[in-house]
Amino acid sequence: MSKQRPAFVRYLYCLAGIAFLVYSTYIVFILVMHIWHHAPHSEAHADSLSKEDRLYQEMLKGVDAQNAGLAYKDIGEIHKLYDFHKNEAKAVTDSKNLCVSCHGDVPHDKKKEIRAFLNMHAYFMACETCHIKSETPGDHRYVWYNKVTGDEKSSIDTGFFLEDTPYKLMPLNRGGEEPRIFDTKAMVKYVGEFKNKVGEMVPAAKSASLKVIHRPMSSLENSVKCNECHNSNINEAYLPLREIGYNDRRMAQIVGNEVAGMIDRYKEFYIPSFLKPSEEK
Amino acid sequence: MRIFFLFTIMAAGILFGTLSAHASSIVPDDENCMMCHKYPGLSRVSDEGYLRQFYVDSDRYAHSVHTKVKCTGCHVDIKEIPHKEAKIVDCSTECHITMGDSAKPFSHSKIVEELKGSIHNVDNEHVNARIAEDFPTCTDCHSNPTYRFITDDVRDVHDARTQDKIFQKCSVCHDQDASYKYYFNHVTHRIKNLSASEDVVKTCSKCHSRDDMAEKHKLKNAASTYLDTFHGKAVEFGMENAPTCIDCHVRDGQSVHKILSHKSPDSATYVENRYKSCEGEGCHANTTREFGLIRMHVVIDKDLYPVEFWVALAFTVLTLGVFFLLQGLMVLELIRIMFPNLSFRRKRNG
Amino acid sequence: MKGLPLVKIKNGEKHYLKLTQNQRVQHMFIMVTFILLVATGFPLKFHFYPWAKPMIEMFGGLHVTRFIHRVCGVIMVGQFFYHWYYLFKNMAINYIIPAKKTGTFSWGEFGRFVYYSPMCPRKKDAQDIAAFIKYALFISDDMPKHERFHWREKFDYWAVFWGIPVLGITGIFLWFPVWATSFLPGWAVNISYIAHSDEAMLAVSVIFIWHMYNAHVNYDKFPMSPLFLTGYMPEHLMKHEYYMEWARINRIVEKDPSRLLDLDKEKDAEMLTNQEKMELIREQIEFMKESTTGGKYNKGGSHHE
Repeated sequence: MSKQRPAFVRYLYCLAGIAFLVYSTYIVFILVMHIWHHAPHSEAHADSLSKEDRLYQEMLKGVDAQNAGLAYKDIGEIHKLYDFHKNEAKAVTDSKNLCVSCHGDVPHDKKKEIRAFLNMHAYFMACETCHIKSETPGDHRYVWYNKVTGDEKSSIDTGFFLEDTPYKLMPLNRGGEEPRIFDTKAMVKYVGEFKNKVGEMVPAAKSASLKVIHRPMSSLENSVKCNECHNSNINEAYLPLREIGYNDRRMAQIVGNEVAGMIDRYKEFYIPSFLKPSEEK
Repeated sequence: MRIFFLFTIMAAGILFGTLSAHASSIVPDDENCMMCHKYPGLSRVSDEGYLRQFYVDSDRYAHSVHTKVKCTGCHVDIKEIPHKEAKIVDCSTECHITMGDSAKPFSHSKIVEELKGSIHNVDNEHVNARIAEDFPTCTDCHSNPTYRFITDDVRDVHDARTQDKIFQKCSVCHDQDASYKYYFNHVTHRIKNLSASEDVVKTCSKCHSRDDMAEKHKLKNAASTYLDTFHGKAVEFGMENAPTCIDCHVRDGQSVHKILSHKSPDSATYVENRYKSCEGEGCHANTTREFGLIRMHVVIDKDLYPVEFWVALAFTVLTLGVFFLLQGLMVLELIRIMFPNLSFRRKRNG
Repeated sequence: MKGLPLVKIKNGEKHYLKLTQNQRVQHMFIMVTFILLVATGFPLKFHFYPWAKPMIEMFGGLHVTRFIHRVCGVIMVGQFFYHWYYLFKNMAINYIIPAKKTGTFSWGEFGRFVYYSPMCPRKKDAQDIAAFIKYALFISDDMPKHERFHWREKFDYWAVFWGIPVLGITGIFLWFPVWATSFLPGWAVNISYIAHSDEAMLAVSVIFIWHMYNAHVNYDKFPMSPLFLTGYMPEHLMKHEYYMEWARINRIVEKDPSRLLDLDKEKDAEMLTNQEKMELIREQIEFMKESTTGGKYNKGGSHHE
């Protein structure tokens, strides 16, 4: 070597050079072999399964793996088969509600006839609104929280219908030290720990924890029912519509014959047990 | 009966138009479907585990080609509110609008007939695997398209012709609530090439890029092989009017819905016709039969295309053989440079 | 002086001529067209990588890259033909014409002339490769003593010699497929595509790794060799890597010292002593002074136009 460099520089140079050459060999190999690559055939077998088996496979590797046994469903993931009307952009998902963090934005799935209606209400009413019923009227006060930012407002513009509003109605305790009726700091912590551990829990421990989490809930028979708000007697409505920001015209629509009448028809023709949303756990 | 019905619609339309500030963006909804379907939250998980959203964006619908059709015009099985799960819409249904030049009710049945004559019908003689659920219906390829009027397209005719200016001229004779806007949109929408090239490829790719489908139906992965051709790459890199699936697979003057198997003599891709399909406007000129035989969906497969297979194999061996050899020499040299004075001979000598 | 000096002395080191001006220009042409061909062709070959589209868009779209690729291809093939002309011209000038003029032409000697021309692979190369392998496998400490172009450079040269016809012919088939299929079967265009893109892949991997390594980044030359710009190589590299060529040039220069150019000496000669500098400056001040005060230099100034 006519140029004299320290030995460690020489070692460094050679090792870096060898590493680079090995890496470039790998890259060139990949690039050259592209012509032989076929798209993976693994999906092929999934599709030759029956619908139930396929669903089970999907649950095993996809939906379930991410959410560890929880029933989360993102409202943004509309299935393409049902996308004729192309509504993709219009759905604000809730990233703040504690219930939604497990149950997703589309939580109702049992009662075939009314589940879509219930989900529609879940879009702008927190689960607590109906599923934690106040003991006596006036126990709860209400705020609108932003599903994305978490900002709370005492009233929002309800002059037009709540299309894709980012706000959701949330009941709070009127009196007492703790305003939150479900997502107290202790409960948020407990649910967080539960979600981290649920994968390794034995069934008994899991159901015990679930019981603790769902203890504040009213039983399903005692949840707030459709006609407790959509009732022509406005003063008997469960929700204090005026207090949460509704004007007379909108209140008239909510309790009017179109909605209330439809509920009555449902009650008569479609499902006599309509007002008893039972068997949901 | 029908006259009475039309009167009701018109009355409702006029009433709505005068009453509401949102008249331009809300579809006349005398059926009151939007009472519920205006809420984006109206959704549920289907029995197959897929999320379904029942929301209809009325603003978008008002600008779509179906804007004059009422909900029940397509969803004919819905007769009352509330309703049970609706059936999947059959596009060959005669809906409650009439064609412009006659009183005949309108329907897409002609197109459905053409689709039935094509390879996309499960009963076509050239179908390899008769799996009905794999064959496309209208909504597998089409969503509800919105009217597009691109003012730039008309600028060539007159530089000041904005949409508003054109409507102003119409309104001199026609009433404001008359149908001229609808017919204007209806016609201008069709002047332009409707789908961008990449949209056409995307539509066909929904099925033809799936290996499982190709395997079941004994086809090749048409989309990925197409994307490897210069045609596919031109589409991919945004070249305007680059040739898509339908440019080669639909015979000149035929409906795009009537795509035939390459085995059928009427097909655009039938061996004896194929080169003629290459001779479209702005495509290749003076083609020969052999030109048509240049393969557009090549897979490297020993049995299917032996020539391509062996050439690819020879070049792969050459490239990797030469390259690996040279890499090996360089690595050896670098190792040698690390230990400049360490040869066996010197040891023996020294 | 006959052509470029074989040895230049600059900053105290001898530099040996390795590439003539013509050869450097040829290399420059092939280098620029090659880089542009790769930059416009690879995004198409590897269209499924995320960098492909931005690269095409950087050039201004497919219309532009297609144009650049075709123009560069034509230039590269043109250069291939020029190189053939260059080879025959050198044979004529350096052997055939002088030999005929002196009446000493013989086919045997012409064969030897070609055999010993710088790029012709010969027995010495096989010996050099064997010596290199012995050296690389720690069997010997002696590096082979190379001539003007060693076997690695000859490999690069002949790889391009084979590559350009393959890429050129397949390229023209892809450019004019209608013409190609007027006398060839349809699948000829398909295999042209495979051959064109695979051969390009080979060229790119060999040039960007092997050639770059040998010419620029190997241990002695790191980080870069100016050879492809200047055509000269410093003595320490020359002696180390091209011992035979170093010895050959030294012999010529010894016989004919006019082939050596000592830039250092020239530079020294051009240097002014401090004494001379001061004299020059004072004289100029004097001149400026006189011209502003209307001295003798100012007269007849208008005639100078």
